[in-house]
Amino acid sequence: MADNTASRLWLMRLTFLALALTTVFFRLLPLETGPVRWPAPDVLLALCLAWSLRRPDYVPAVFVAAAILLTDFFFQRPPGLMAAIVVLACEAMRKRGPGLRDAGFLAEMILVALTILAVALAYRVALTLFMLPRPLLGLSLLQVLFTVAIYPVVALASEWLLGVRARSNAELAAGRMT
Amino acid sequence: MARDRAHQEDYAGPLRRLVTFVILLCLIGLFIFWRIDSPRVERFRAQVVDRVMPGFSWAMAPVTATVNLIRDFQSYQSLYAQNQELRRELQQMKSWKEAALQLEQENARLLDLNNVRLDPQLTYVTGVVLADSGSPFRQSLLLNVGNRDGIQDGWAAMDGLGLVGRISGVGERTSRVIMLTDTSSKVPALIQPSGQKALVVGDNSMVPPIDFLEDADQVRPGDRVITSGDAGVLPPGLVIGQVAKDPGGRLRVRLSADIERLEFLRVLRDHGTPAVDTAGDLVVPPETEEDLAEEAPQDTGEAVDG
Repeated sequence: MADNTASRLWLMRLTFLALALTTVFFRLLPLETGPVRWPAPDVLLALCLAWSLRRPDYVPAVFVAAAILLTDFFFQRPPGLMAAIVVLACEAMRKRGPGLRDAGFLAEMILVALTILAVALAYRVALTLFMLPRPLLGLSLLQVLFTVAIYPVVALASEWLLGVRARSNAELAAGRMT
Repeated sequence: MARDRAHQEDYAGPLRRLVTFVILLCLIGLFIFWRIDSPRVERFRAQVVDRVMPGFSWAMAPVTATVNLIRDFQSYQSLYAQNQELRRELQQMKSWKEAALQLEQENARLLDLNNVRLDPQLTYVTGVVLADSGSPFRQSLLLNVGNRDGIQDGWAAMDGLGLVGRISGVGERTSRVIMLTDTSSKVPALIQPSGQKALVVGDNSMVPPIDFLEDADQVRPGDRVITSGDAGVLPPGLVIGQVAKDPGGRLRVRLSADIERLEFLRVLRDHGTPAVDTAGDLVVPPETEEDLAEEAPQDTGEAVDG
């Protein structure tokens, strides 16, 4: 029952923000200042999706919006656009979460891969609609690929290290009955 | 307690959806506002970075140093091969040094002959690279000098050898350098010795292509590329790099600046070249009223003759 206390909830929410800041921090380190051949995976996106699927109460939309908006500001992206798309994606995850709880990891993987692709596409379409310069298509697709590849690592690490695991239907039912 | 929570969820659903909707509206509103009034939001962005970045920088320096240390340590493995290579390079460098010394003397002589005075306004501020853009699609750097140090938008940033980019976005304590390799960077350039004018257009690769070249036949790989100072954005005569031809036959610039590893950048103070906007006051003697009176009949006379 210790899992459900309010302090635990807020601790995990703050952990999410701290993790978000950490990813920003590592992305900003001036190690490779030249153009890169391989774009780094978007760990923050994977983190948002994984947590939204498992424990949506740990990642309220405000927190997701704040984290992604900060990266928007730091990574020279149009502010607000990516944040809005990711908030939408997380909302979709939140809805799908209960259905996937007992479906196994493969189903989750496919759903997440499609969602990450959809996020990239939506971002690109929005940039085109507003007549903004778009990043190279090849680089964007590579980044999608890498983000999908990093997703299992992020998801499993959050499960094992931080205890962000989905409550099974049985647990939920037990919680409702009492 | 569990019942309490279930109770909460009943109300939390619609409320949460409403909050999410409001957040979405705000974000999209911000985006559209940015699209309409970009400078204001960009200033805000600079302020946000300015506020958050110093909080990072105390941790960034040691982490960067550690990673570099580990990388350097890895290079011990190939110490012998490296040593050999360095010896070979040193041999080559010695001959280059000789050539450079001779050129320097020649240059000094020629400057003396021409009585050239290099621009005294061209002083610089040196800044430390705090962070890179963090995105694979943008090529920019964050420096630890800003408004406080008198940095202004548009000034050129160089490493020891060549142009790296120009300042775009100045905060109180930080400023952003858009690098030559960024897709939004277009720098007017002059190619020597043929004197062709062109644009160096960033395309997110290490070697930005040359565009809008007048006559590509006059340009050979190895030619020097310098800034032309057109449009008054950058001071003229800064070294950008050398022309190179890629396998596709397209002309590109191999940058002189070592943009893969930048630690310090110097930002050149540039107060612009004052424009000449009056006609030749120096040539014509100043006109008095009598002159004007005399001139008037003459003019009509000529007109009749014509």
